[in-house]
Amino acid sequence: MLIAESSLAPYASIVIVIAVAGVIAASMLILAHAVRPALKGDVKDSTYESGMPVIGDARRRFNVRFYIVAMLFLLFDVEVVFLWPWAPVFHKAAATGEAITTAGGQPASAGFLLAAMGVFAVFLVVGFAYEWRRGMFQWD
Amino acid sequence: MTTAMYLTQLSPELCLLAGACLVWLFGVSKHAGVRSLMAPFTLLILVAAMVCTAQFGRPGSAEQPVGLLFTDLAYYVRWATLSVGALLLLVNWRTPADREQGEFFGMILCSMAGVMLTASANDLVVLFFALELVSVPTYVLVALSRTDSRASEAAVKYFFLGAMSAAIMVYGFSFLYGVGGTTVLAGAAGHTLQGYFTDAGAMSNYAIIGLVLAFAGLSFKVAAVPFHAYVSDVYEGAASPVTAFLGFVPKIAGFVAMAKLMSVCNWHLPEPLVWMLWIVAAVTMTVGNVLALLQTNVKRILAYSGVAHSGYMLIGILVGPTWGEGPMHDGVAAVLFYIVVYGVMNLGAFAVLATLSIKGRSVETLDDLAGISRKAPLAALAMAICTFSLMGFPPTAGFMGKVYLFSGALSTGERSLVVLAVIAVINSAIGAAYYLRIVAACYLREPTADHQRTGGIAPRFAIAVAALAMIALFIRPIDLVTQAKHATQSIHTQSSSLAQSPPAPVKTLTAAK
Repeated sequence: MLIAESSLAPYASIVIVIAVAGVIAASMLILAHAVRPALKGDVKDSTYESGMPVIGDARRRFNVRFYIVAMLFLLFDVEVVFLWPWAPVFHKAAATGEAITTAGGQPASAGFLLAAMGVFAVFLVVGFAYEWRRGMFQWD
Repeated sequence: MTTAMYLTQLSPELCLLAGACLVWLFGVSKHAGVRSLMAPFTLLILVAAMVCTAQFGRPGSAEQPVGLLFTDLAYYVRWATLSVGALLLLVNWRTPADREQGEFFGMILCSMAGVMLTASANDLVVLFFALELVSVPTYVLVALSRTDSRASEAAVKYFFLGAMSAAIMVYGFSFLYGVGGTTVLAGAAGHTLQGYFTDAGAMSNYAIIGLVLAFAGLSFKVAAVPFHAYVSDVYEGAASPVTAFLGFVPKIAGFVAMAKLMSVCNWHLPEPLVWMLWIVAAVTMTVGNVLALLQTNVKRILAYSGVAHSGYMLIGILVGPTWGEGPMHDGVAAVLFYIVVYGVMNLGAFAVLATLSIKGRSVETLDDLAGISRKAPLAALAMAICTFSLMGFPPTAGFMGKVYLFSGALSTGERSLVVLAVIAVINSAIGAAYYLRIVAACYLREPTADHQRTGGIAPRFAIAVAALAMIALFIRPIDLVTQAKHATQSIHTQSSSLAQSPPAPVKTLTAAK
């Protein structure tokens, strides 16, 4: 399955999508600019016109805890996403009792798949235990 | 059954990674006694990985796991990483703070596992992950190595530039995948990149773009010009023992990955790419040596000398493994030999800096080194041996390494490579100037400050081993060279040697049905 390099025809649809997206975005901005009433004022120019009063600009320093929480969430969230594709494959192997052929062309039985996810879970637990012991989950 | 077989083949790497998990967990123990055991425990893990390599690591006719290929190259790199890594661990014995022992040694283990996986990777994705497994822990090591702001600054610089280089490299890999239609590098089974390049004859422009970007990313790992700018700041900011680590681990991974990419191209690059590598090699060694001349900080001198040494080793990558019998006619074997020698002599020099301090700060400048031969004669002697070896002066292994590298280029008979070898010899002469300044500071100048010994017995043992190894490898380099030569044979004839291996299990499975 080699891409014929002389011909970029298959990519034409992508170019069209990009062009259409650009046209839509540009036309919205231009239309909004042309149609909207031009009112000025302190309230009008504030970040949230009818929302929270702004206490400073977004480049002020945040407490480092916010970043730690965000990182931990990202880690565990992404790791848990890996469980999802594994589940249907494991279910298929467990229900039929036959070995699944993996993408690499090697057979994997239900027991192997369970053990593989076990290893993954052990790594998760190691990370969790480490973070807990380091006090990452304490806000104060 | 087969799964167990795959796992035993991977056991050295698994050993290191499982060990890293244990080190992380025990490193946060409440008992100071347990935390202080992390360094010996890490050494134990390295020994266990060596036993696994000796027991299961030999390349055989066994079926290969997906994405990996256990060749003689992998065998050589595993031994090189584990043995030089054990010395690096000794140098780093007391580097981390008490509460950070677990993180520090766990990161060292992960980084070494990454090097070993790089050598056996047979898939662009695995190769990329392995290279990142080498690099990401090194950013953490730089940050953990000292408590002052310079280390944090160095770590942040190293991290951002490293992340950018990784992005460039993986972008190049995406071109290779787009051209070849597969991520598998080599091997007998199925469609591979090596097979594609063999069949395609001439290389397409997209493949050339991919290779240029991939080599750019790898140039960062080996600190080749124009991706060398981070070296001096990062080496200066990190503590000396960690700098010794940075001088070996990312470099061996980078050069092994370069050799792998070259073997995928059947060691036959299109002319523009050859000239690109030629210019990079020539400029790297010249810039490294000239900038080192201007420094007064020994760590910065050694950092730029490392850039120059990467330039020398690029010659070997350009020469390739195919120019005849014996180690003198084999560029890649010379690189594999030289990288081990470089790692050891470099760690010896940095370890000497790490074991001496003046008023609580470690020795860094030429003035700091003045007259250490009076205060610490053995350390000064080891420094002299390692420096002479870096210079490539006879009774040391550095001389043999340079002989192998340059003779490989000369034996090709190609004018461009001969010119490159001549440039390298001229550069070695330039390099002698700043290396001799280090030795002169140690021996000829009067001591200006009061030196204290720090670091304990472990780094001193590593220094002694490094210095003796430099002499021993000069007297008898043949064992290591034979191993290196053996390793390159596997990389050169990768496709043909694997044709004899049994077919992949999926075929037998479908046949049974």
